[in-house]
This record gives sequence, C-alpha cells and structure tokens, in this order.
Amino acid sequence: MKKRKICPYLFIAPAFMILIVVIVYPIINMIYQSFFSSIAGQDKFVGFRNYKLALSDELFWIALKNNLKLFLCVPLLTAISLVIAAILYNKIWGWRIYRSFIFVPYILAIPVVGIVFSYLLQYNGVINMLLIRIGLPGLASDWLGDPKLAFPSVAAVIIWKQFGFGVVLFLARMMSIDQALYESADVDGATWMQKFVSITIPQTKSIIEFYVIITLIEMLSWVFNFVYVLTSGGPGNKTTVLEYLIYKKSFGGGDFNIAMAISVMLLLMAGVLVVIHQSILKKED
Amino acid sequence: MKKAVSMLMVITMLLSLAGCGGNGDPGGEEKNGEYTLTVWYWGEQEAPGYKAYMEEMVKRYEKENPHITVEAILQESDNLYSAFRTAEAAEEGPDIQYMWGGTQAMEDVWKGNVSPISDYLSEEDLSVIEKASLLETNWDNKQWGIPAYGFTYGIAYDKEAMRTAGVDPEQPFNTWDEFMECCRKLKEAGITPLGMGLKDGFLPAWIGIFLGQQNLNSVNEMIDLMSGNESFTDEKYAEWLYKIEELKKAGYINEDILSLDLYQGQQTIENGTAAMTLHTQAYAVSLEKSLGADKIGFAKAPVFGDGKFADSIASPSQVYVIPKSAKHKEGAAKFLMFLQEEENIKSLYEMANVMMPNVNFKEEWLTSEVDKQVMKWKAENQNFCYQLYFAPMFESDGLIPTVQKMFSENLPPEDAAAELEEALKKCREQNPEVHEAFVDWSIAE
Repeated sequence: MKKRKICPYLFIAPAFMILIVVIVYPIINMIYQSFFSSIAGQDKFVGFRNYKLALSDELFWIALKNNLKLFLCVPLLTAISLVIAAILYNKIWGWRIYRSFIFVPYILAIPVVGIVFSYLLQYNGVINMLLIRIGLPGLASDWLGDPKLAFPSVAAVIIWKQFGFGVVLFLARMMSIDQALYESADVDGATWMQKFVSITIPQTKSIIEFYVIITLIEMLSWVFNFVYVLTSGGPGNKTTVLEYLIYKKSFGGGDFNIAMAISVMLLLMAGVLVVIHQSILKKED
Repeated sequence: MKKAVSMLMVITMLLSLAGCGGNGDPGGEEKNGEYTLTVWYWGEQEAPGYKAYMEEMVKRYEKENPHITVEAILQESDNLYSAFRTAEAAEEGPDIQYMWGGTQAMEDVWKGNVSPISDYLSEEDLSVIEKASLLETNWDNKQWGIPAYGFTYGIAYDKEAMRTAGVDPEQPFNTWDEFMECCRKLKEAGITPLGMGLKDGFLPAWIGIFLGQQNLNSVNEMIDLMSGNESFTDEKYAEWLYKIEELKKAGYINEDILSLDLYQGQQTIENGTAAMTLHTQAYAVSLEKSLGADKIGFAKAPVFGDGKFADSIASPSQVYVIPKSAKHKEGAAKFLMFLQEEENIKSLYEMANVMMPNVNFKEEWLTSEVDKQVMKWKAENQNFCYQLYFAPMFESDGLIPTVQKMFSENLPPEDAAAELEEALKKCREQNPEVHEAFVDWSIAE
C-alpha cells in the first residue's frame, strides 16, 4: 500500500521539479522583487511603493482598459468560429480544403502576421491603394496611425489570426455529436438554424466555455506580439496593453521593479480567469 | 524494479537541473589563456559600413592576439537595450556592450548594470579621447563609457528637389523663416518638404535635438527643466512644440508619418518621396557617396530661438561600456583601447563615415563635402545634444506619446507642454533614486 502511494509521486517528480524551476520560482521571485527598488545593483525594500506608483500611473489604466476592450473580441471570435464550424460541419463541397485554409493564419508566426499587416494597413499601403483604385478614396485611412482606428485594426488582426483555432476546436466537437439527434430533428422538420441552436450549440457547450475562458486569458496576457509589431503601443499609447507596458517599463526604461508589480497584478487577473475556468470544469464533471 | 527506474529518473532530472545553475557558457571560460570576448554592438543603422568596420577590427585584433577570439554580434535597434538588460539580469551579459550616449547609457550605470571602465584603464590611456566626449559618461569620479564613435545630426536634403523648387541647393536656409519659405516653395512644386516616421517612437527625441535647445543658454537650464525647477509650459522650453505645429498645419510633413518607422521615414529622401529628412552626417555621407555630392546636401537646424544654443550643433558620441557581469573586463578594456588606435580610427572613418572623438583624428583624412562642412560647424558652433539630458523614462513615458498625439489627435502645443510637464513629474516620482543620480551626474557635467 505504502509503495503504491510513493510511486506516483516519484513519477511526477521530474515534471514537478521543472515546473518549480521554470514557473514557481520565477513567480515567487517576481512577487518578492516587486517590493524592492534596485539602484546601483543594490536592492532597497520599498514596501508597496511600486504597486502604488503603478496604480497611480495613468498608463496602467489605459493599458488595462485596452485589455478589457480586447475582451470584446471574444464573443465575436466565438460567434464567427461557431458559424464557420457549423457550415463546414454540413460538409459543403471542398470543406476539408476550407478547414485547412482557415487554420493557416493560426499557425503563422505572429511577427510575420504583424509585419505583413503593418504593410497592408499603412497609409500608403495595399489596402488604401485598393480602396482608391476601386473608387473609394474616402475610405482610405491611416489604419494604424489614426487614434480612432488603431485599436480596432489591431483587434481585427488578432481576430483574423485566432479564429481558425476556434473553428477547428468546434468542428472537432461537432464531429463527435451523435448523428441520431440530427436525424430525429430532420424527422421533426427542423430547419438548419433550429438544429444549430437546439442541438449543435448545447452539444458543444463545454468546448465553447473552454474556448471563451482560454481566449479571455489570451486577450489579457498573450497579445504583446501583435501590439509590439503593429503599433509599438501607439499612437499616443492608444494601443498599449498591460503586457506591452510591462515590456516598456522593464526593457525600455530599465524599471524592472515597477514592471514586476504590474506583472503580479496581471498574474492575479489571469489567475481569476483560471479559477473561473476550473470551477466551470468542476461543474461540468 | 519500478522503484529503481523511478529513482533513476528523479536523480537524472535533479542532476540536469543542477547543471542549469552553473555557468553554461564554456566560451567565456579561459583555457590556457585562450578566451572569447563577446561584443554586442549597434551602429549599422546610422553609420552604414559600421558592421564591416567591426568585422575588420575583429580580424586585426585576433591577428595581433591569437589567443583571443572576438565574437561581435550586431544588435537591432529594438532589442539593443532589452537583450542587454535581460542578459545582465541573468548575469550572462557580453564583455562589451554598445549604448546610445547620455542618460541612455547612464541609466544602466545607475541601475548597477555597468562596471567603471576607469578601473581598467589609466588616465593616460583615456587621454587620447576628447574630454567633452568622456564627460558624457563620467559620474561619481569614474569613467563608465568610452566612445564608439561621434556623429552629427543634421537635415539631409535632395539638391535636385531644391533646384526644382527654385531654392539655392548650396544654402537652402539658415533661419526658421527661410526654412518655412523653402518648405513652401517645395510644396508648391509638388514635393513633400519633410519625410519622417513616427511609428516606432524614436523620432520625437530627434525633433527635440533639432529644435528643443534653441532657447537655452546653458546645460544647467536643461537640468533645471528635468529636475522640476523650471516648467515645460514656459515658452522658453515649449516653443519647439509650436514649431512642430506650424510645420504640421502648413502640410510640410509627409502624410504617412504615423505609419512609418524612423528609418522608413528617413528613406523617403532616397526613394524621392520627400525633399528633406532628419539624419546623421554619417548616413548623409553614405548617400553622398552613392548618389553624388551634387545630389545630397546637409544642413544645420534652422534657427528660431534666442538662446546661446540656438545655432548649436548636436555632435554626441555613442558609447561602449563594460557590463557588470562581463567575464573578461580587462580584455574588454584592452579591445576598446585597440579601437582608439590611430590606424583604427582612420579605418572607422573610411569604412563607416563616422569620426572618433579622439585627439589623433586628422582633418586631412576627410574626403566628403558633408564631413568638411560638419567640421566647419564644429569649429564655429557650440556642441549641445538635447537628448543627452533627458531624465530617465522621460522619452518613453512622455515625449513619444505626446508628440505622437500632436500628429494623431491634433494635441495643441500648449497641452503637449502640459503633458510633458506631467510626464517629467511622474518620471521623478517613479524613479527617485535614479533621478537623484541623474541630477548628480548632470551637475558634474
């Protein structure tokens, strides 16, 4: 009995050790360092000063607001992915090719996507050239330079890049739905929309919940690359998000301690989402 | 058996983890006096040819010192500081690190990321370097940096465009009014007068270098501003923001300024989409060499201010420092002095069009018209670089977003000045210790 108890722990020990070294230790160190200020290589304990300074910085709130605004992409991403997955599920002609094409943006490296889109969206870029050529010069704008358009442009690129994952995820779940349900609905004369609302969505509910939480976490702590490559947080901090602010504070200005305080706060926010995710999973079980 | 296998796995893992903690860079270890010196440098972007120069220096140094291998890695503008700071935090930095001058180098000194170079070089060694250049990185009675090269900021212009617009290509402007007149003529001729790129945020400091200092009479006035003794909203300090507004309102700046990065903006002169751009003398010389002296001209910033620095030129030095975690500090100092040898500073000029602020640099080496003009400016005008005295974080947290807002949101100059004043206040509050060191350094200046 004793043997059986120890053995599993020994098996997970290597992975556990790696987790401690690459995740737990850095997090503890980050939390610890967020209470210090470094000058001339010496650490000075400053209590909550870094947190106070971060919270009193207007830029922190701008960045947080932008992260929250990115949350609006989640329902959009979910809806688009669901509808496309449902269409593909009907096995329209060439659906396998469409599925592969839709997934391509997801596997592209973010810097590649960022650089391509920054050229496309430039004031003298391809999109504006096309608009001018088709007689719509009034629509040509500085997509990444206009403060009103910069954020929606970044969000649009994120949606374009990410929706393929949702499509593949939902489609995989739909493929495993019991066909008898659809056949019964067909016998009852249900329309495509009725089947979608009454069978497809309820049957994919758990995957939708998983996708929503994962995407929310991504919008909070996984959009740095897009912002860095497309706009560098500009114009005038209009597209700065918390991750970019952390980068700017630490590597741009060498203010590691304030950056660590912001990182701790970001970690807490992401932690809340993880807890919600876990509680949903528990409920499902 | 199962247990034994498990234990073996755990032990293997622990051993491999233990291995992570040690020095994983065998290249940095000395073996029989042989070692590798790592140099992280930058410069090709503003001094084309600097990469070739560095490779040549490495070749020469390795020939003279067969037991030393020099590994010189060219960095990108975006990660010049981030890569260094990350490496330094892990105590895995290079032996020599390139840095932009002034506070941009001193900030890392104050943060404790740099070792004093004067611990490894005598005063006699350093005496070949121009004093003014040394002072830019002197603090706490110690020398922290050594110049990589000096360069001069100016306005590079297309002489052909000037001719087309009816402007004298040899003397297009001296004063602000003449500059505006020149821009007007260019615009009337269908040519965009100024091409610039604001997207990556490097440009605002450049504009400041050309226009920001014009009402100042001394370095102390700049320090007073950064220290909070004076206000950015004072006309003396804010006038240059009104000049930006003037240029913007008159339509003298490229429309896609917010879409372009600094270097893309500067390339507008090469691809013929603008007549003028803010540039370095080194780049202007490279254009002069490739396009011809009758095609490219180089002008000083137009004068509008009434301070002693109104017609000053900005001729700062970029620097090399020895990081605190460097494994071969003495070797690094030796290599840096090797770069100061007469033959090598001549090669620097010939290959990268930049001048080393070194007493052994000879005027007769100059071959370019742009350089001869720059030498003349240096003899006649004071040298002051506005950006060298920026308080830590002021550029990233204040200047960049504010100037971007002037273009993207039409932020009026008076509001921009107020935002800059606020940003300065925030920089002082967020970095009190670093700010203290900054003031200390500035006073020593």
